[in-house]
Amino acid sequence: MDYEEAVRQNLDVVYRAALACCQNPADAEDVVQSTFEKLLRSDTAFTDEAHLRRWLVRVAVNEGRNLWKSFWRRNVASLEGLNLEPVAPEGGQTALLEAVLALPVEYRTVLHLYYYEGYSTREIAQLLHLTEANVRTRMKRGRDKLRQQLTKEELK
Amino acid sequence: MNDKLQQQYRTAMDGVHAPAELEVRVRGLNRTARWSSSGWVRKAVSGGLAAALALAVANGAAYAVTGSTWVEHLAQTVLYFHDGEEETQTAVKEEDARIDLSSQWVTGEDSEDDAIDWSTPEGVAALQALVADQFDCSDGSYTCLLDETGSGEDGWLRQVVRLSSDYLRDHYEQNYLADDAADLTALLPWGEGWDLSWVGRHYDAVPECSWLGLRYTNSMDAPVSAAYLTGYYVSDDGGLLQLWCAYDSGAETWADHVNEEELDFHETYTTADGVTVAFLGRDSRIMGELSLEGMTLYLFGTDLTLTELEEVADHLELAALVEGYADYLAGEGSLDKEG
Repeated sequence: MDYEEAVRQNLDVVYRAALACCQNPADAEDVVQSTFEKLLRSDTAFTDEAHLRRWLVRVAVNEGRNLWKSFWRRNVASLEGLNLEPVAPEGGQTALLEAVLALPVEYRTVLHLYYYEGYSTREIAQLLHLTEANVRTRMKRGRDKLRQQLTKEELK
Repeated sequence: MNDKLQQQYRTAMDGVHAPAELEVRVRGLNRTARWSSSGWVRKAVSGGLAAALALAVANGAAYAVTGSTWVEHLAQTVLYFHDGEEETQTAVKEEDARIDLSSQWVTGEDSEDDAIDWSTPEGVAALQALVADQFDCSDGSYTCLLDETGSGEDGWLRQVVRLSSDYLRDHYEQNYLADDAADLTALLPWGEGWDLSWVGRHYDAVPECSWLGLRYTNSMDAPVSAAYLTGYYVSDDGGLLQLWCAYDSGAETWADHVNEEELDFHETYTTADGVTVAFLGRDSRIMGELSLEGMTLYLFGTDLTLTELEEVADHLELAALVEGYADYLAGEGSLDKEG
């Protein structure tokens, strides 16, 4: 596999993971770019496509968290609000996606990794350097908030 | 998120695509970097630890606190303290995105928990709910294989074995609940070796808040891939102590980078039996950390003094714990490295 093929197969996957752990699409794009820059620098011996995908997602999540840990973004970016227009999905389901992406970043990251990427709670704990209990707590809180949000939407 | 919602979420996410201009940018990266279609070519990037050490030398505001050399065959996490957020971020990035647990904790993640008074009945109930999550199979992500109540002789109150699967592997979780973590230490993969008797005499264990989790991959006949033991205790004046011991075959040691400005204090403390523990404190919370290859031990104190936590560390028989663990690694129970 060459770099072009790696990009073709994984660009959307990495972008989706980046959206799940960033505050807005602009940050997600920065994360995608830095993730592929790391791929170009990496000497990891990828065993197969699945290995490459998981490596990219892991790096993207870490990049997203690094971004969010910066003082400026912690204090300013959250005020910018979420502009979902650039990520409106094909074929509807916008309300659900909006509800998930509107969750606090610590919740939607674990939900995305678990429900979309298929990580176990243990793998998420390793990835995010949290305890498994902490991951499950975040998943529970995230699901609760999502449920509340979707109920509100239904009532509108 | 139920199955239907999960499917809807997956469908919605599958419909999200990276903008075309982003694809152009990402593909363009290849023009300025070396790439070989026959393999993954590494550019000259220094190793994480080397980069951190270089920074420690180059930046007068940053310095390293290393573990003692009493277990030379087990690498201990190195903590680097930096003067400010920007310096900390730079160090983290140079280390190839290693994120430090320490700064996660001190920057107040899970701040919803900060408002809880753990010594009250409500606080105890909150702790019990936190632990009970490990025994829950009701949310659809686990299949419960075993749920049994222990007899008094077992030392544990409840044992639950639950299974979760992803598209790669099956994950078996064997969880034990007890009133006191001391009742569970014998079930650690490396056997006895963590003496909690002093803690039990000087603090009150919070009932139904001690938990041991054993993890197996693909089969419960496989070696334990991870083990977690935690227990909560309260002091006479309402301080909360949490002991946390994690053994994980997939864990690595790494350098932690901590922004000194976010701490009230930090210190390294050598216990009476010669183990080095790093203590970091902010507001009413103090964390003691001992991280070794594959094993991490934490002492979390809320409304406890540093002196009280140092006294706890002195009486945990940490040297015996780590020696027992090192013997385990060297013997038949060596780490089950996952691919």
